[in-house]
Amino acid sequence: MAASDQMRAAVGLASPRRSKALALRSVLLVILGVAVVASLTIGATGISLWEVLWKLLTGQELSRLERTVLWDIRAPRTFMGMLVGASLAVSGAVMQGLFRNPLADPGLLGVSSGAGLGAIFVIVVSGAVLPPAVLEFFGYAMLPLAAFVGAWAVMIALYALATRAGRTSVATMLLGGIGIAALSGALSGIMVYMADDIQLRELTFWGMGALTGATWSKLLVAAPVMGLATLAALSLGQGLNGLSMGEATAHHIGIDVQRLKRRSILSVSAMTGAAVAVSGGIGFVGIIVPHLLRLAVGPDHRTLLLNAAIMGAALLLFADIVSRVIVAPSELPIGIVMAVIGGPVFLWILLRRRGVVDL
Amino acid sequence: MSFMASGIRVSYGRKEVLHGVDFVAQPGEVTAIIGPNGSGKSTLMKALTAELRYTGQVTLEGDDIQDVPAPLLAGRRAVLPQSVSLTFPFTAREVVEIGLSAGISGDRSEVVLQALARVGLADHADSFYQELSGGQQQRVQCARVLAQVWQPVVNGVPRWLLLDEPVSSLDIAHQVAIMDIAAQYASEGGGVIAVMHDLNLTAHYANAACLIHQGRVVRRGKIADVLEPDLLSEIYHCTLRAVPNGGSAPLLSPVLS
Repeated sequence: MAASDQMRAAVGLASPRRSKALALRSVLLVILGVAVVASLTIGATGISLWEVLWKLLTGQELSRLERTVLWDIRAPRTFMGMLVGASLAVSGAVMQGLFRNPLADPGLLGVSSGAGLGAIFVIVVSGAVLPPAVLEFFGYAMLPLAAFVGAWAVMIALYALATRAGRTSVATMLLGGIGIAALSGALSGIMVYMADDIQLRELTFWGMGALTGATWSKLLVAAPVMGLATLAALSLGQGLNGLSMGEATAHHIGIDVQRLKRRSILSVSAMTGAAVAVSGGIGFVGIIVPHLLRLAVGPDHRTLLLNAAIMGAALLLFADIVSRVIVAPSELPIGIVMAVIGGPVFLWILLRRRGVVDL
Repeated sequence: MSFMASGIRVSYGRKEVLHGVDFVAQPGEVTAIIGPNGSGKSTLMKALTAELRYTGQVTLEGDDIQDVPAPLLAGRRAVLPQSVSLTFPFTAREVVEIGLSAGISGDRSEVVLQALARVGLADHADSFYQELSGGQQQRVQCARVLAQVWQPVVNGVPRWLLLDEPVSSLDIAHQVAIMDIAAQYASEGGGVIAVMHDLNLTAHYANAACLIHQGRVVRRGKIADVLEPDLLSEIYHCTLRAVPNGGSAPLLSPVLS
C-alpha cells in the first residue's frame, strides 16, 4: 500500500477523485458567477451592470430603459438560461446512469421530441379540443405540463423497449430512441400542418431553441418545476452508482431499484419537459457536460450530478451570450450555437477516448 | 439462526428448472452448492438472493427475505454474482466503495482499503476496474462483497456471504486465497454459501454441501456424507476415486482411461 493511501485511510479522507471533484465544484461555481455577471452585462443596448450597480449604491434613480433591460429582459433570461442548462445537463447525467450508457441523452433518444410534441399539442390543438375553463385554469402551466407528459411517455416507452431482465441493450435503446423521435416528429409535423398563421408564428419562435422569450410570468411555472426536479435528481447519485453494476447487484447492495427507476424517469421527464417547454430544443448539453466531467474527475454520480448542474448552467449562459453578440443586433438561435460548440467537442471526446477507457 | 429455503420452484418460461428444493446453511460454516453444469446451482443461488421469481420460501434467521427491505437485507448478506459488467470508468477503490451503499459504521475508506488488501489488490486501488484482468476484476468484486458485510457477526447476529462461483476465473494461488478468506469468515461466526465447481476445493474448504442434479437435491448434509465417490461418479458421469486427505473429506480424482 502506498504511503499516501495509508495516510488517507488513517484520516478517513475520500478517494482522490472525489476530493478533486469537490475542488472542481468551487471552480465551476466561480465560472458560473462570471457567466451570470456577463449575461446581465452584455447585450444589444450597451447598458452596463456596473453603472447600474453604482447608481443603486449611490442612491441614484435608474432610467426606465435601464430597469426594463435589466429587470424585464436580461434577468429572467439569465435565470432561465441557468435553469434550462442545469436541467438538461442533469437530465443527461441521470439518463446515462439509468440506461447505463454514456450515449443516453434527452435530445438523442427522443425525450425532447416527446416533450416538444406535448408542447406543440398545446399550441395548436388544445384550444380546439379542451374546454376553455381547463385552459384558463392551467394558464402558463399548460405548456410545461404537456411537455412533461410527452417526455414522461417517451421515457417509459424507452425503458420498456431497451431494458430486459435488468440489462440495457445499447442498440435497442438508440434505435428505439430514433423510432420514437421519428414518430414524435411525424405527429408534430401533422399538427404544424394543421396550424393557422398565428400558431405557426408561435411555433417558429418556440422551436428555434431560444431563450429570447424569457419572461417572469413564463418562469413562474417552469422555474419551480425545473428547480425542484433538479434538486430531486441530485439525491439519485448513490443509487445510480450502484446501478452501474446492473440492477441485480444494485439490489444486492441495498438499493431500492424500482424506486430509483421511478424517481429517475420522473425527474428527467420534469426537467426535460419544462426545459423544452420554455426554450424549445437545445441539444448537446446533456451529453457534453457529463462527459467532460467524467473525463476530469471520474463517474461518481454523487459529485457528478451537482457539478453537471453548475456546469450546464454556465455553459448555456455562455452559449446564450454568443448567440446575442455574434450577429448583433440580431440574434442567432441558441440551439444552433450549442450544436456548433457541442458537435465538435463531442467528436473530439470520442476520438480522444477511443480505445483507452470505454466511456 | 440459519439461511433456509424450502420448496423452491423456479421456472424459465414454461420450463421448470428447480422442482421443490430444500436447502439449509448454518452460520460458522461454509456450505457448498455443487452439481454438474445445468443442474440448477446458480438458479438456486438466484432464488436465495431473490434475484428471480420463485415459489416456496427463503428465510434468513426466520425472516422471509422478500419481506426485508433491500437496505436492511444488504446489511445482513452480500452477494457475489458470476459476473458483473460495469458501465463507467470507476477505479477499483470506487467499486468497493459503491458496495457500501447500505452504510457501515466507522471509517469507510479504511474498510475499502483493507478489503482490497485482503484480496491482494491494495496496489491497484486507483487502477481503472475495466483495465484490470478478468481475475483481478473478480477479486475486486470479492473485496466489494467482503466490505459490504465486513464484520462476520454484528450484535450476536451472523452475516452472510453468498458467492456464485467465486473462484471460477482465478489462478490456483488466488483460488486458495479467496477460499481462505471465505473459510476465515465462517470461522469467525459468519455464514458462507458458495456455488462451487471444483470438488477438491469444496472438499478442503466446505463444512457442508448440497448436491443438485436436474433441479432436485440429491443429497445434502455434512461434507463427507455428500462427497461420496460412487454417488458423484454417477451424477457427474465421470468415474471418481477418493484420495485420503488427512482429517478433511477425501479428495476426488477422476479415473482416466
